[in-house]
Order: sequence, then structure tokens, then C-alpha cells
Amino acid sequence: MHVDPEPHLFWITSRAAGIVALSAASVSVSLGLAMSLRLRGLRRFDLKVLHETLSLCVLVAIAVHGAALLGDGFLHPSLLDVSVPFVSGYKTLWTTMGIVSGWGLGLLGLSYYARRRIGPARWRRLHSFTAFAWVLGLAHSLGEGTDAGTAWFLVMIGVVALPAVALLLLRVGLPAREAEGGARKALRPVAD
Amino acid sequence: MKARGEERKRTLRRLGITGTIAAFLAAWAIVFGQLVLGHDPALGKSKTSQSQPKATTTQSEGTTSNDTTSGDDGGSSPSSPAPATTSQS
Repeated sequence: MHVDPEPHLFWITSRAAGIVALSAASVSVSLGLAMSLRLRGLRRFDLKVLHETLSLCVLVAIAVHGAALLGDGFLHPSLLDVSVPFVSGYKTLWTTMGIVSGWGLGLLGLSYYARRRIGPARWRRLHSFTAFAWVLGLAHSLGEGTDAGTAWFLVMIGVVALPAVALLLLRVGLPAREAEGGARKALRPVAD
Repeated sequence: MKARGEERKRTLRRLGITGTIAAFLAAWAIVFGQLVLGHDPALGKSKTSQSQPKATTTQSEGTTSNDTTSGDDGGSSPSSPAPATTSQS
């Protein structure tokens, strides 16, 4: 049975952008945590450049995810529905999680460019909440995502999100000061 | 040395952007493909709810009912067709 895709093109675009936003955000969070934990064998310069690039790509993908929904012929959401928490009547809690996650990733990510004004130590603390925003995005996609029940989506999310979850648990488990040097020791190969 | 660093930076940025665009195109193609082939998770659900047999329909007040189902369900028929909905995000 074939379905005419024409009325669903905005919806397809929004779904694809959401999937990319979550995947890229997961990889970016992993890279950020890897930098924070100073894992051996990874060049800090490479991690930093990729982390920044992917973070900016995530913001573009989130913007496309929300903007494409505005053209969807089924939901007909308003700009407020897709940008202000608790306004949309469609799966309000899950939608709100996605909106808060989007704003969180955007503001916390872009705060990098104001880190001198904010102060390095304060910015570092602030930036660590990005992981929380990412977790909200993960919950939003699993709770509301159309493709959340499909095998390919779950496999893809497993591949990109599980390493981030593992690194996050490792980072949370280590006190702030130990995280810098301690993780390096903890993850040092036996032969080293 | 600095030039090599800049070159590497450019390469990594290109890698990140290209990878993201490739991932978007792949995701778009997968979602498009499953929709066109009739395997879309949301539209599949919609089709199912629309094709439910209309065994009983809600009767308006004052009309004679031939319905054999018990009428103590608070006025809503449990088997009345659900509105066509799709799960979207």
C-alpha cells in the first residue's frame, strides 16, 4: 500500500531534523564529556573543534525541527505552540520537554561565546547543565517521537546515546576536581 | 605549525557539517521511504483506527435503538470508531 507523501513533506522534514538534532547532540555531549574527563588517546584540539561544530549543527537542526512543524497540515501549530512551554495542547508534557531542551541547548551552547563575560568558572558550571537539556531532548524523542517505536531509531539512539550516558554517569560520579585527572587514571589502559 | 592547525580545524569542521547533512538526508530518506511504502508508524495507526468496523454507532436521543449492547456505559459506545489521529512530533 502506497501513501502520497506530498501532504507530509513538512512533517517528514521535521522528523528527520529532530532525529539529526538528537544524534548530533548525543555525539556532541559525548565529546564535551570526553574533554571534561580528559580521556587519553583523544586530542583535545580535535574534540573541541568537533564539539563546537556539532553543537552549532544541533542548533540549526532544532530550528529546522520546529520551523518545519509550522507547515504541517495536520497539527497546524502556531509559533507559540512550538516555542513556548505548556502552550501546545498536543502531548503537552512531552512537547514542553522538547521546547525546554531546545532552548536549553541553544542558550547554554551559545553561552560559550560569552564565557569571558560570564567568567570561566561560572560558565563551566552553567555549561554542565547542557547535559540535562540533552536528557530532556532524549526523553522528548522517546516519549513523543513518531519513530520512537521503530527498530532502526532505537538502534541509532542506542549507538549515539549510550556512550553519552556512560560518560555522563562517569562524570557525575567523580567530584569536580577529580574528574579532570581522575578519569584519566581510571580509564588508563592496563599496559600503560 | 599554525597553518597546519587551521587546516586541521577546517577539515574537522567540514567533517562535522558534512556528516550532519548526510545524517539529515539519510533520516529524511528513511522516514520518506517508510511513509511511501505504507510502513509509517503514525499513519499505520491512523489507517487501523479508520478501518475499524462500525458495529455500533452512538445514537442520538429520541431515536429507536436496535442496539443489543448494554446501555450502562455512560452513553459512549466502547466500539465506536476512534477519531483518526496521528502521532506527530
